[in-house]
Amino acid sequence: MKVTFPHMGRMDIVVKALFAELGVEVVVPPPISRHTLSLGVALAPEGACLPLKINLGNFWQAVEQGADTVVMVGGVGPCRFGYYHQVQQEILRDTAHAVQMIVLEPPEKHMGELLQRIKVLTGQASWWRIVKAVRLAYEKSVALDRLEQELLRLRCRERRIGDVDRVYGRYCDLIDQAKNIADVRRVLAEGLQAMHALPLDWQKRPIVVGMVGEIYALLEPNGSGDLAKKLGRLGVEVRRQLYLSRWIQEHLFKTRTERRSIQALAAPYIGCEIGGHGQETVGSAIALAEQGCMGVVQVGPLTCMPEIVAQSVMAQVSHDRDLPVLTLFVDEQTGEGGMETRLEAFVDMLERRNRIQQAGLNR
Amino acid sequence: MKINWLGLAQSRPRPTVIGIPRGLAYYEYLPLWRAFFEAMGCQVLLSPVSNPAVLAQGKLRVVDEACSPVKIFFGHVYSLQGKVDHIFVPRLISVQEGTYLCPKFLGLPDMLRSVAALGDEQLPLLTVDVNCRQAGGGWSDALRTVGKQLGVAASRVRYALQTALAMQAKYESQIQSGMLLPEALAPWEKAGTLLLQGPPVPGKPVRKNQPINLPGEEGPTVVVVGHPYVLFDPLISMGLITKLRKRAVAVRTVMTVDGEEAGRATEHLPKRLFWSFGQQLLGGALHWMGKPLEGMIFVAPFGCGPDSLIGDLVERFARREGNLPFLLLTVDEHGGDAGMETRLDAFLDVIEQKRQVRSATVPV
Ligand code: SF4
Ligand code: SF4
Repeated sequence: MKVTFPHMGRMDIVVKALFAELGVEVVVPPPISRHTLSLGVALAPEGACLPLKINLGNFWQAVEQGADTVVMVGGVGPCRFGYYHQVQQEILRDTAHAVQMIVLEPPEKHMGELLQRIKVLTGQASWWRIVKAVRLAYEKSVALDRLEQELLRLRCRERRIGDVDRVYGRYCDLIDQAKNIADVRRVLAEGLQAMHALPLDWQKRPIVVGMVGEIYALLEPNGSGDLAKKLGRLGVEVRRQLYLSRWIQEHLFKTRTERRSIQALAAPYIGCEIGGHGQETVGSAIALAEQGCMGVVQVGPLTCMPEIVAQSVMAQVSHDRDLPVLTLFVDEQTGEGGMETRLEAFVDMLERRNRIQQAGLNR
Repeated sequence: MKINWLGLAQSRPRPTVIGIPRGLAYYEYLPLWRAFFEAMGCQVLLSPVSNPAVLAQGKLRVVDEACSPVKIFFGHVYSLQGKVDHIFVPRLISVQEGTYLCPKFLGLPDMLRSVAALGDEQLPLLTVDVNCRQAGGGWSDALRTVGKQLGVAASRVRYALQTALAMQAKYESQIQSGMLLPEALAPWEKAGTLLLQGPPVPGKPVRKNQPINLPGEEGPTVVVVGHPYVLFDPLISMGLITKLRKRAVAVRTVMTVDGEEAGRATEHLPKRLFWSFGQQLLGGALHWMGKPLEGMIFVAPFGCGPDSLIGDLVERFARREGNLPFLLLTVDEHGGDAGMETRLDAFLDVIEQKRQVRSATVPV
């Protein structure tokens, strides 16, 4: 059995750590490229949301490199994600790239269920080994998220374009190679240091923008037309609340996270969970504004149902909180041009607002 | 206020008027709602049949990205504004155990409330959660809550609920017995107070699941798969059903397939759809594939999330099934009529050719 999985940001490092510890052979799909995307578009139904298409491209390329099994997380609705694997499996079945699909349904109540499911997957691995593997993988996820957080914060201060991304990439690789938890922590500390040692403009008082939206669009640069980087290059410090490690905590470990308070903030606008991250998008926008973000960019794949609901109430949030919000829906055709102009206009507007506010304060 | 012949003011207050928007869940639950409200002594006002003005109203208020059924629903809600005391928009979370509706159904009252608040508009929404995922959280619970919200005495609510559930059960059995939804729904769409006129009497149901041809149905038997609020909304569906019937097609829908049959048809799939309507569409389509059929049309509104996946699965299964002519029709609010006419004609031509081949090769 050669296992593959979809890309989502640097999740590959986390999944690899898990399976390597368990002795499962893994084929990491090649990094997402134009080719991946066009494969996915050709295979997937036209109206499917972008993540499903990119996933399919990932699987196709991984099968070409010898993978025969796909491991996916499942879900029980109400958004499309919970049904991805079924559709993807049927699509691949009609091609020469059929795969076996193993679905890890997220546990209903507690983490024990997850461990149980992993055990079934690996056959003879001992409980001790499973727990150890999960712990290392999770530690890597935490470290990667911390690095990414810093990447989003520091990009706008770069004196040489590309510096921060380069260091980030290098330390991601080092985390990938780390053998145990102590190693991971050491690499993380070094990585943060290395980022801070770069020639950065510490005097700068950048515009701070919160990024909210659907998880794939937030975590995978190719899912958002590289939105975070574009904002950074426009001199914007980016903040985000949703990271992979938090998703793991919530959905796989079933522990309490800040999600509850985020949902509470959203409740006056969206009264129940509507699937995906729709409710959280709204709550996060409010939370980030309270933490000092001057504007919010909401991003989601085109036709994403929960994000459309969120978008529908966002105008009211924006009005109530005096918070500029820009909503972007991304698909395979999101041309560089169109998005860039909208971002520039949005950032310009924030800068103007900021100047006016500062002037008001100084008077 | 009426003055009677003694010159005394009649003490009976004006009945509360409940507005019901003609969209989304309307097509499946109108009898339940209408009977319930009327049995509680309320009056019911339906929004007008979908027309371009209603759609325009909706488009004005809802985000561009929304699907056409949601857009027109907004229009229906707003066309009731100012004419009724309450507009009934329940939040349908789950109508069947272990399943959900589409996220847009879940967020419907929120979206409406938000748009109204922003525009400083009065929108007297009467809303309640319908959630079968919670113990006792189905329609009975929801309607009891509604009765309480309206301040109706508990005993009257109980009576109204009984009446409503009975009417709904009858309606559902008519549809499952093969009656096309518009015919079963028609008696419930009349103006006035229905329960005073006596319960609606529908026409005779056709025999279950038998593609027997009714008069005017000499053409091929075609199953049309789609949400009722798409198929039977003349604007959203661009008059598809009428167009088919004009061409003498015997139209069948998945509404006649009951939950059990749909469940059996999807048994071989590794995972059940968690969308109740999705299960109905997929299960219903698969169920029909086992019957003597001459074609299948899947109708998806443009921008519909779930249908992008369900439509693809149905098409795949139809193709694997062999040579069942299949047409995936995406309808959207800007769509031209001409394009659809040509596609329908081409589709029916394929069916006709197959008929001829069959009759040429199979000796009679
Ligand atoms: S959250 Fe949106 S993009 Fe993600 S699976 Fe659901 S509908 Fe698709
Ligand atoms: S199921 Fe499709 S058509 Fe219906 S509300 Fe959801 S997205 Fe719109």
